[in-house]
Amino acid sequence: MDDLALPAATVITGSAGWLGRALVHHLATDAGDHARDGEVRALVLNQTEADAVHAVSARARAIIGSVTDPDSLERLLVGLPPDTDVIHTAGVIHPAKVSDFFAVNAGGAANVAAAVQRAGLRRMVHVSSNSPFGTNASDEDTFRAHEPYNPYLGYGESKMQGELAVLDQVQAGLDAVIVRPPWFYGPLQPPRQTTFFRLVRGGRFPKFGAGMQRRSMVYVDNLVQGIVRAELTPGPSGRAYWIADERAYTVNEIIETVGRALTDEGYEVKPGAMALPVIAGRVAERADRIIQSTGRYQQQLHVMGEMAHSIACDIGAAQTELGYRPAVALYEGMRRSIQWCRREGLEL
Amino acid sequence: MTGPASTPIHTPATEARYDAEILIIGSGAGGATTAALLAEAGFDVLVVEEGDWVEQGSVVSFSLEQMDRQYRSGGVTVALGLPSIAYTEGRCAGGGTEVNSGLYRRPPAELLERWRSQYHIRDLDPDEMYVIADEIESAINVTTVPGAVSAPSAVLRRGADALAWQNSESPRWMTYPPGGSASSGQRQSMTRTYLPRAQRAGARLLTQCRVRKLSISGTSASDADVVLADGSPGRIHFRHVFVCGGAIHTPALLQRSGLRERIGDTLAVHPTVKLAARFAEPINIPDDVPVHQVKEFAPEISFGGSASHPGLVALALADNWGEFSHALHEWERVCVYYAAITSEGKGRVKAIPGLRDPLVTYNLTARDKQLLRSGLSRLTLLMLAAGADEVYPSYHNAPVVRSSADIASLQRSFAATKATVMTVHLCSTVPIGEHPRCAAGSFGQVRGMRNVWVNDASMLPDAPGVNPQGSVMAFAIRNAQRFIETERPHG
Amino acid sequence: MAGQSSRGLVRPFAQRLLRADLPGLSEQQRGEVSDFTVQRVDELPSVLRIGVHLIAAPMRIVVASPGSDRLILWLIRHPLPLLGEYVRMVRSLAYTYIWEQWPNTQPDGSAAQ
Repeated sequence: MDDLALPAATVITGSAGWLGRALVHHLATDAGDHARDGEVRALVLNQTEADAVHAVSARARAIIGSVTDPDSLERLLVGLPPDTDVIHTAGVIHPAKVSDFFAVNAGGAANVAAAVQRAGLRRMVHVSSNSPFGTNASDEDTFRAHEPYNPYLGYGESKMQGELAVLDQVQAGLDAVIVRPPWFYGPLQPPRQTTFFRLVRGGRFPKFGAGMQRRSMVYVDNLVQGIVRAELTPGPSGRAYWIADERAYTVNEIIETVGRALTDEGYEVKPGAMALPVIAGRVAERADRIIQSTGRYQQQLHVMGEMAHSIACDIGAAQTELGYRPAVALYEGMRRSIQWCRREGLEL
Repeated sequence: MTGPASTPIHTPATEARYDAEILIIGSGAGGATTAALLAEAGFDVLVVEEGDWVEQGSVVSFSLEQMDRQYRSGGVTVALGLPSIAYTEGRCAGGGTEVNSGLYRRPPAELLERWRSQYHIRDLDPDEMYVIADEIESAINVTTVPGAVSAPSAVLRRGADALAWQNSESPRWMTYPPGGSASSGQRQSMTRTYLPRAQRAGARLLTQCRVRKLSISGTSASDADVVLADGSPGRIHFRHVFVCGGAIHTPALLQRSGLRERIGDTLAVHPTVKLAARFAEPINIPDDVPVHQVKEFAPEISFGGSASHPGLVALALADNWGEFSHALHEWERVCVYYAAITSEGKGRVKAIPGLRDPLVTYNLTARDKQLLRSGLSRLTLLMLAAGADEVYPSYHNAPVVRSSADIASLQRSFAATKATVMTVHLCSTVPIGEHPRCAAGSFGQVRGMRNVWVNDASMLPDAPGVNPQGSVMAFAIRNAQRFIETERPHG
Repeated sequence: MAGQSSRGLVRPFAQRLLRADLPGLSEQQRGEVSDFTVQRVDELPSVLRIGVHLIAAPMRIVVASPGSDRLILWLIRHPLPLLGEYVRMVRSLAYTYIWEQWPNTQPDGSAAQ
């Protein structure tokens, strides 16, 4: 089937974020993989973020507001032609407190979906996560296109509610597609990802048990491609797709590949990893659960707790239905990330 | 017609003394096939069966009466653990083949290859096994149902198709009258196939004969101490004995006879959890089970349908009676389904001196419990995709599930220790192979014994992940053929 | 005899559980269902029967004690280790029997309308 025509205008929420800026780069600059004409509007929280977006693309139009503020969404969407697409990426993953999850990830998605529906725009692409589905029951298991919800703590619960809010609007007539990326990586990454490289360099990346947990990851340009394919492929409203690299990687493979990428980029890498018993991951998970139940959030514990499990997904539906073709795999993607860090002057 | 040529002779055990060249203990999928092959090869075969001969059709399938007459302990048997796992065993002429779902799966080629390499099973050639499988499939008439599949089976297909999950109709070993419907099948169990064959070739079958122990000296067994139909003691002298009493009672008998090394330590099962689902239209078929199985997540997780007469629907709803029992008003619209897993846990069978029955234990691993949660949740999703109005998962205080968001609360509140966990496929208590952990050789000869063999589900190296009857029969025939080659009777 | 002891130990508890779970069940049905439950306990494999008797004995004492209604209700509504398995077994046997014998029984145990 032919693609939908390119939209007259494109709106990106969370556009100063990692994924948001990658989208602005690929959609609204000549160097982008999916450069398009027409207006690109970018929702940002403040002037600093507006500057960050403009640094990526001078022609993107930054509008200050928040997905938690419906009035600002009215302003964001005012005067747009009906064949406008909205890509909703705004979300929080490591907040100061648990309630932020719900305000932004659940409430924000509901507000955006309602605003798009009210404005009568063409399509909404909702960027969700693996987190509404938790972790695989065993290291051999792989999430299929359709899976039962099993939210992983506050983040997962809030992202699930976000999906459900979008699906509610779908019932009311909204055309929406959900995209579910797992752990992503690549240029424009936030500081916590720099820590990741440092841990691998120092031979201190935490590895639970035999390191055979499988993780789906997605290089950010692959993700942008998946989002654009979801945006432009005709099909029934309410569909959802995993967007990830071609296949999942084991933790051992991730540590080895990133180490190799660092070495090949001229960094000295201490081989090995911080071997931890599986029980340590369970303890971290339990502690994360307890702390989140008090409304607080501790990033390290959360990441540790999740690392003891597999999160692997099957991208078959995106490949066959959307024509998604992930072009970059782990080694190449990591080399590009490292090069970007060096260009940015980041210490690894 | 492939019905029996004549009703075979089966007599309750009454004599204090019997003699046989070959004694076969148990008449199920393993014992009956062994008996037929050995008798046809000219051996003098005596089969003893603890249960009774029950004519097919004389009891309603999956009813309490059937449990009474054809199951061990009325169908109430439990492997102790946290949680305990309820299981059932056939105890009648024909064994489990008289009472099971009648679904047939060949042992998958990957499984045979894994067993061969992991357990060092000699001369295990998939091609040869499939030649045997071809023979079995013709002997018991493996076929798909004629006409449209039943409504509860169509639910599995519809739900799985909607989710793009791999599913297929499992063939059954049934015969159907010309123009018959899916539910008109006549099961080709052992009492209609291999037992009559064995008897036509001269084998004798004694029912109501329980073997207490084998007399063993050195590397040979010579006699079986038995309890006769009237409760009095008897004795059977033999040259070779094949123990085919099922995965619980084969190791228990060997242990009581003094053979304990590696025997009974590796019980494998397919633990299952279940749910009831209510639909807008009537779907219940009280006396049959669905033929579709969902294998998308196999071998780790498989889905299928369970017997669903109103008593079993009530049983499935009992874990949260206050919230679930209203569904009983419309039991015609309710059907019970299961999620089965391949477990990495291990069970044990231990004969206890002075007690008739062994202690059976089973421990699920943390992974197993996660798989049960995942299986039940995915099965619930499938039911919603098939159009269920309400789903009732079987664990204590489970929520009624009406939407995909409700499944999140199922996942949160599920614990295997709160669930009704059951199994029907018991195996692997006397695993075969040359690997040091195996209790019997590659062809079922019990380690250290010259003339004691196992040839039933006990010998499967571990849980096959599919309905095991086809695997049990194929291995039993393979081993019987090897026995005939090496021990062929003279004259 | 094992049969005697199952009857003495299990029947009063089964009766009490059925009165609490299914108040609409007639006296006569309750007796029939309890007899069936006792019969199945008698047929249990040796180890299980001994285990059930060990659990059933203290429960029997509780059932016989005056003023124990609330305790019993609590015990049969909570999935305790071991004890919960006993409750589950009695309940499973009873429910299966009731709805197989009288499929149109109401959820509270009363006869079909």
